[in-house]
Formats: sequence, C-alpha cells, structure tokens
Amino acid sequence: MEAPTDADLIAAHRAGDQRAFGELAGRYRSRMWGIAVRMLNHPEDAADVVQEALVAAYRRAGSYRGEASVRTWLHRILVNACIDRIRHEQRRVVVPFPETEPPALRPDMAGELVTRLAVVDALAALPVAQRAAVVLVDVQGWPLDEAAGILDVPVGTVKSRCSRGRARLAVLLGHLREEEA
Amino acid sequence: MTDGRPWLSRDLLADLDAGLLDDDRAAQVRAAAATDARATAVLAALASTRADLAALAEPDVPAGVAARWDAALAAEAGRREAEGPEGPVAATETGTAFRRLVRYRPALVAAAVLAVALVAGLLLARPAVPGPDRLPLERVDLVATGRAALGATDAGELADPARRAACLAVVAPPGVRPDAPFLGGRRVDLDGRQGVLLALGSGDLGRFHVVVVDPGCGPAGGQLLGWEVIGR
Repeated sequence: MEAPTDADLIAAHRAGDQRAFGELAGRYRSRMWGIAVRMLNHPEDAADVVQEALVAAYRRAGSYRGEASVRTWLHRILVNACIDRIRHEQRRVVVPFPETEPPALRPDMAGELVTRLAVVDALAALPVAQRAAVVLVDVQGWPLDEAAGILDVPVGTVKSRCSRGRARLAVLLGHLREEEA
Repeated sequence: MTDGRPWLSRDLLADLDAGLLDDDRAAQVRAAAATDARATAVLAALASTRADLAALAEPDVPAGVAARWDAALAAEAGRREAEGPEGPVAATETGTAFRRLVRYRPALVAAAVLAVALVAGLLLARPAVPGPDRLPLERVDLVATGRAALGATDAGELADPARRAACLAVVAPPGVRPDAPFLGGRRVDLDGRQGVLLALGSGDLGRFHVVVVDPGCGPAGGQLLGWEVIGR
C-alpha cells in the first residue's frame, strides 16, 4: 500500500484522524529543527519555535486551502515563527550549537570543526531575511521556487537575498577580505 | 571594487553567481571576470562559501525536545477531542452542560461514561492490566488526569530517572520503554490505592502513555495499577 500523501494526511487530520497530523509532522520535524537551529542558533529557542509552528499548523489545518504544497505551507509557518522570534525578542546568539555527528574520517578534523563553527556564527550575523534565504537554499538545498513559496516572495527576491548573504558570508568566513569587496 | 575593472564589484559578481543577471549581461560579466584575477578570486570565494554552507550537518533532534513536541501535540489533540467537531463555541456549551450534569447527577454520568467506553470497545481492546477491580470511571479519568500531569513534577521518588527506569523495566506495559521520555508525573489515589501517575513519551508525535504504578516501585519490583495511551 502506498504511503498517504501530505495532502491525504491533512485531509485525514481535518476529518478527525488523531494520528494523521503526527505522521505529517514526523516527516518534516528533522528538517524543521534544522531550519530553526540554523536561523536562531539557539537550541532552546529553536525547540520553542518548532513547537509553536507545529501547534499553529495543527490548529490552522482547517484553513489550509492548497494554494501551496503542504510542506511549503508548514515550513512557511515555521520560518515566519523564526523571523518573529528574532525580530521581537532580539535574541542574537553567541553560543554555537554543538554538532552531534561530525563527519568521520576527514583528513583535517580540527580545521573542519573550526570552519563549521565559524559558519554557524557567521550565519547568525546576517540580516534575518538574508539568513532565511541562505539557510533554505544553501544549507538545506530547497529549490528556489519552493524557497520563494516558503518566504512568500518572488524567486528573484530569494536570489537577491542569497546573493547579498553569500557576499557577506564570504567575508565573515575569511574567503574574501573586506578590502576585496 | 576590482583594480582593472571597477564595475566588477563584489555585489555584481555575487549577482552573477546567484543567477540574477539576464543572459547577455551574465555573459558580459563572466567574460570580463575571466581575465580579472581579483574578480576570479571573488567568484572562488563565493563558491567556497556555498560549499561551507552545504557542508553544515543537519543537527539531530534531541530526544527531550521531540518529547516536548509530542506532549504539545497530544495536548492539542486532547483539546480538539474535548471541543468536538462543532468547534469551540459548541464545545464550551457542551462542557458547561457536562459540568452541570457532573455536579447534580454523578451516577448518571458514571453510567454514561461506562456506556461510551463499552460501545467504543475501549475496555475490550485494552490488554489485561493488573490493577483495581473498580475500574470503569477511574480508568476513563486516567486520560484527563494524564493530560493534566504533563509538565507536573510531583512524581515522588520516581522523579529519579534511574529509579523510574528500574521500575518500568519490571512493570511497564507493552510498548512502554523503561527509558521513555518523562513528560510529567503526579501522585494519585486510584481506586483508593496510592500510586504515581507517569506521563511518558511514546516516540510518536502526538501520542503518549499514562502509566500508574505503586509509589515504592523500583529495582526491587512494583505494581502496575493502570495504563492508558493518549492520542492514538
């Protein structure tokens, strides 16, 4: 038997199926966690925001009209919650999130660790709109059109935010000196 | 700005890299950059930046965090169940009527709850659980009490994870792991017997176990007094 689609699960949830939303959330919670951690760079805030987004989606499923895919809709709720958290609480983070599984068998683990921590900190220094675009497109690999759907902006705006964000990151990560910019 | 071609700015090169330029403009900038060492370095830096970002590992969801989300969704499921399909307004009216009924006709309520439980097959579907003889109303109450216990920390000695795991290793019903995430606990009287109610994560979003054990449950043994699954 084929697995139900996301749309099937939303429909089942609306019809009162107690497990449907849990199954849907289970499909995306790792990805949602990744976005929240990279956006907020603060595990406790990330946990709160994913929880808020899941509960909000649970409650709003009745008003989902199918204009976007379910996963786009779900991640839009999450990204908006992240942006709200950053803007309203102004909690810029200084504690890097510990990587739980550093890649094994790399020739230069120490150098790799320094680079990855620097990337996390550099991301946190970007303006929030650029950060959201870069996290979706460059960190998680979302297609541009889906990232645009999540951010609710045209594709050109996503490209522009990524362009500015990468240029800034290139300096912050030491790939480019400020005077070369 | 670059030395040879001042118009080859970092932002213009980043726009080229991001696919923002139209075809003609992109070809023009690419050709100019190919002969400009500093522009080439900027494009290489942008490529390295992309590579760094793509190499960031996806963080694992910590078990405790997943358990919190489970509990939050289970609470939502409970709220929805209580409100019913007609929405919050109807549910509020129904709730008021139910509370009035509970106040004045407890026997009728008990009979109704038992009837609903029997019709739903809840009692028949549940595996046999050693515990109290007077079960119907108390067993139904476990669901509401279990939800109310989420986040509570009144679990007595079973708040200690090692003791709780040892207890559950002995008495846990099927599907409840000894190291199940602890979502809350409360001391209770179930059928006149003292017990400790434990809300435990199931590993599935929106679903958790409510287990009642005797207060002395631990490595030396214990007794399972009640069990419910919420959010199936």
